Amino acid sequence: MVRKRSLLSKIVEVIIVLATLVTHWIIFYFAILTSGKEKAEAAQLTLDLPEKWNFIENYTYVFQYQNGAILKAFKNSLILTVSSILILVLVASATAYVLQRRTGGIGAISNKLILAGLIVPAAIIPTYWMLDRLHIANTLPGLIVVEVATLFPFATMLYKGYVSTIPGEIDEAAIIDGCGPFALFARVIFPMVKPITATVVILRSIVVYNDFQNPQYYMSGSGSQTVQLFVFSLKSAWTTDYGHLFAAAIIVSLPIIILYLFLNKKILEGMTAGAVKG
Amino acid sequence: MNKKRYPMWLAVPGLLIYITIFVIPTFASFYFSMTTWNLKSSVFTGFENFISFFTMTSTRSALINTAIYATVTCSAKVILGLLIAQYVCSGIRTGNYLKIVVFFPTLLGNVVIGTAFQSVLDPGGIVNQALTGAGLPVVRFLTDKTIALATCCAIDIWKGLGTAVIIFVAGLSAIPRDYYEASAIDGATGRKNFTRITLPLIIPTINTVLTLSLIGGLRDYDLIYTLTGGGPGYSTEVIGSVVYKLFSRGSYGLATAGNVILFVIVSIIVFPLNSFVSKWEERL
Repeated sequence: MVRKRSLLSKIVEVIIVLATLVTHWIIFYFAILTSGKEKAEAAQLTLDLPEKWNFIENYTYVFQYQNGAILKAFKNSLILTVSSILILVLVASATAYVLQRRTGGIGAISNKLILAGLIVPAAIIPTYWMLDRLHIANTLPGLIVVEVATLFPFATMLYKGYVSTIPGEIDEAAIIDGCGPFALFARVIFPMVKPITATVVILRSIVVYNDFQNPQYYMSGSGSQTVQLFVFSLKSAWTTDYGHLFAAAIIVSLPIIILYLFLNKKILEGMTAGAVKG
Repeated sequence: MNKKRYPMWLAVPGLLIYITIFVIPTFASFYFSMTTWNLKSSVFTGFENFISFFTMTSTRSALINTAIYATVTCSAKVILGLLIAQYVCSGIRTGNYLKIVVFFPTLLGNVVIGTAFQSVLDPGGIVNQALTGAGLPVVRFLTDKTIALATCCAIDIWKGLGTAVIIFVAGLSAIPRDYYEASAIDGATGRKNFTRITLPLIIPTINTVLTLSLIGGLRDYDLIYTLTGGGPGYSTEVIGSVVYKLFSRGSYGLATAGNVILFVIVSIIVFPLNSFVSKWEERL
């Protein structure tokens, strides 16, 4: 679509780009500046440069607060994110593969249940009751299975769509070469669905790491926290202490921002996997 | 043959987690919503919970607010998302920059976004500093009953627009270039191109964005909860936050009834809407 652009459209473009300064950049700039101000100065909520540059003090304070509570929260968030995504990838790909290759019977019912799970909201308190029955309510393992179950329908549908593009002849060939049913999946099919695995790992990690609703329901009754719950608790503990609060908010957001700097192409591509039909 | 080659046990771990943690609780919720319940034992009380839920003072506001919140955020994400995506794809030089900036908020947690906007929109915050500087009165964005919900909608749109734009950009780039070249030969203009080529071909993508943001708008409450806690009064209470509050004070049966009501609302809106849009797509 090469065409001559009018002066007007160039002016409009400049205005739109400048508008992002107000709609986005000012907010990030404000957050970073505030995280480097002393309490009284930060409470003024201005865009002025700090009179006293307090970055190091504020960030150290956050790390030392309650004997390094933030580090424990990081550890929990890391365990939560890595384990739920690992389990999700393994079980969703295997389920999708079997359901795609076999037709009818239990498979058909499972398909309907999984599709419905894309839409309906989770039954929260009965889920809590189930976790309680299994003795994993208010524990990290409990929260991990909830995250897996929540993300299961979407991941399974993505894998199923992709498995359907792998011809059955490949299965035949592998069987003739002596693959058993498990090896067929683990050594032939699973490596072939790598693009979906990459999408699920990158995008769902962000979702689990940033999740607030599930941890609030299934973890807040325990002593341990995720980073999101930690920031939420600081919000009420440090209502006027914006310097420290913003330092904590930025520390907690950094892992994902760094991930994005390295993987932005993959993230943007992954966003659209399965979202666009034909 | 198939049974041996594709053993069902491979699907069992996934289905087991999904059925235990999602499906059974969903079915159980219909029973528990009709009980007085403390997680250990339950007493059947029929429709009492539903009657109390609908007579609670916060419920009326919550139902209306959820409807407004879901409709406004969802339609804004579809319309603005499509417009921005169309603009980004129109061959402008800063397209990539705009895409990245609009997408950035998607990376942040709702608690972080809530914290940032609370300070930015504070009566003494930078937005009001600008307003008073221009001689305008102070606006209490999050503490004025009449505009708090609108503010929450705007912030949710700010956060969710990136996803919509990225999905629309992919949908637009999937439209074959030849169509536009052919229409250029026939002398079609920009607007005709949009209504006759782009719009019909982008309907599946609109369906995706519409469904995703509508479901989110109906059931998510965490951004609102971190911004206002449902207040002032009940002015930003939504069904999700009512259910959470009932849960945290231990009214499990009542909270489950609220959950079932949300389940019914989401189902009766989203399932028919999905098939309606698919039919519309076939007709075009």
